[in-house]
Amino acid sequence: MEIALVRDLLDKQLVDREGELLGRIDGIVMSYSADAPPQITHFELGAQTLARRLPSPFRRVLAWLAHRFSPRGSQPYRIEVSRIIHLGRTIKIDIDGTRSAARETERWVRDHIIGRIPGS
Amino acid sequence: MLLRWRVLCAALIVPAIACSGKSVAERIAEHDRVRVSWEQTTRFVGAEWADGAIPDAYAARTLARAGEELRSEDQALGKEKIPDRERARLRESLGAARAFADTLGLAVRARDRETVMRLVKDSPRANADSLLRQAALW
Amino acid sequence: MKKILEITLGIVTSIGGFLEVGSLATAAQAGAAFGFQLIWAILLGTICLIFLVEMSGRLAAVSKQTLAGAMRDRFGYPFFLVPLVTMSLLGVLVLASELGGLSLALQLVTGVAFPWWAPLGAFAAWLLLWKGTFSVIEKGASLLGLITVVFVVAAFRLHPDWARAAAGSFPSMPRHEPMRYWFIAVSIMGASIAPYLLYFYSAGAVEDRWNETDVPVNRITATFGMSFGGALSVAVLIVAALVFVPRGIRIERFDQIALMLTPIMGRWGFVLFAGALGIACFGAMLEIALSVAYLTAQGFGWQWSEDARPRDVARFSLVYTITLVAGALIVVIGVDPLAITLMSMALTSALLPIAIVPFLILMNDRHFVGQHGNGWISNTVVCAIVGLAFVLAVVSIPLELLGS
Repeated sequence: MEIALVRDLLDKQLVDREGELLGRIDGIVMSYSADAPPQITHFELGAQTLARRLPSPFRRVLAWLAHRFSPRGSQPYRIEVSRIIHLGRTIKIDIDGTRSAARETERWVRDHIIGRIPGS
Repeated sequence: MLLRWRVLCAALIVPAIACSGKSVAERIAEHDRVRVSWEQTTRFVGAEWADGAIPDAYAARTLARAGEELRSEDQALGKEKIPDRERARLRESLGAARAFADTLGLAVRARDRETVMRLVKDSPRANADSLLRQAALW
Repeated sequence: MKKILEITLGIVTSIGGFLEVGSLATAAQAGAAFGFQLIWAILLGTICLIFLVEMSGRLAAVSKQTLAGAMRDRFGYPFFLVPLVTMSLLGVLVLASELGGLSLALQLVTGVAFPWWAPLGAFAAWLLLWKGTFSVIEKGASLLGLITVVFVVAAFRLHPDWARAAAGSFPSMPRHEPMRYWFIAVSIMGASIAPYLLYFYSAGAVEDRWNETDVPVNRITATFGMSFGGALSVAVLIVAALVFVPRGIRIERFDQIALMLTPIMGRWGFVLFAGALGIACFGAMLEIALSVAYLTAQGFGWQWSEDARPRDVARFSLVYTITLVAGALIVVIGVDPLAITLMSMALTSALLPIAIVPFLILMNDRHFVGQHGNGWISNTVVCAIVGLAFVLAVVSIPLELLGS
């Protein structure tokens, strides 16, 4: 199967094993060495990766914001491409979303803000 | 790319601004229109209140609002570049409209339905060139 | 039988949800200042909205994607930020004008000029989003919104000259105050073609799991629902023209609009106006706050659903909370509600291409909509009307700002 990186992978919706939304593919990581053909190894998710894709003034502001406020700091979250279960309009990944670091910000917002409001 | 955008914007905005200068007659008509509008609002509110169609609080507030608007219109008129004779004429009608709004406001606050009815009936309907022009719409 | 019920419900929902403070205030102002002459602007806006709503439903039914998600998917994240940021800011501004309308309605009903109506209204909306479900919000708001049909009743009872109304359905040059004329025309179009409605509609379609068999039903409900909705706006304009023009009253403050129905229905007219205004604004607030949350969450791939508990969709809930707070802040600062309404509607017209051009590209991309792509008619109509609204807005907004 032929896959166009930008058309079929970048910015596509990721879902976990249960089909729950996980985030979108913010970046694609490729490894390259002299003795092997280049290979796509990871997807990246996170504010740092998103910052890198912007023109420079915005990039610096967003990178600083991510560094300052994101619970993960400056580390983007990586998912090995080998965990792909299904490739389509959405991409299914063999991980448990409830514990995955992809939802760390979601959990942080839940525990520190939304979860503290009565009736949540 | 950016330069082209600026040229385009300038091309659109400059003639627009150039056309926006209003003539003296237009400015006078505009002031007159504002006065007529609020004077007529005053009569309308008075009549509807006398009919029992609107609550006291709303009537009193809207009449106070009309007074305020007419007052601020009077101030705006002071800064406008129009002939002094016209200014005096406009101010006079503004003053009358304001007095009308204030009197009506007092009567409404006093719940004096008969006075309000009489005031509305006796006051001449506000008229102006602009009204005639608006009537031409029909 | 079930289909017919579904279609009827869809149409009723659209009618009840159509009027909001923007369309009400712009139509009333147009009627008071220019008689029937600006009916054409409502018609153009409504025609464009019919096409756009049909398109967003079709996109959701065929691609199973929401409009926001498909935009990020197709154009990538850096481009997606442009509609995200502009439409969110615009959403907050429009939300503020709805909140201004709701505060006025509460003030009319209770007779109390209370500066805290706005935060209170925002809190009520938030509570409903926090506790309610999508269908409660959508169906509830629009069924209650049917009270706005009172404007149609009022228009008929005034026995308007229909020939003149028909003449106003065709664009014509202004006979006086050209700047005001074009600015109001732009505001009317911005009020009709509300982009937030599209995000709301497509999210609803995805949440209801539409598929290709829903495409014809969607077409019917969009066409009839939005047409009848547009008729409500026209009715407001006609009533305003017949009540205010002969009296020489021009709408300069919100309070004046409240007198619109009293000559026809007396005390009931006053109460019904306040009720219609309040309900329409409250419903629109819910839709706008949700739309901003949909746009953000779907664009970033977060979990979203109005039916889930807030803690299970924490970031989504956070976005609508922030949107409501921001809107309430603008009102509390004390900007004139009518001015902010007209300006935000005109700004909508100016910013429409940012939301609509990518949408049109999506609707012509076989990768997304397969054989259900747009025909040349819908492409041409939408391009022409959005283009016209944009050009008029770019010229008339600076003039309005300079003039006042």
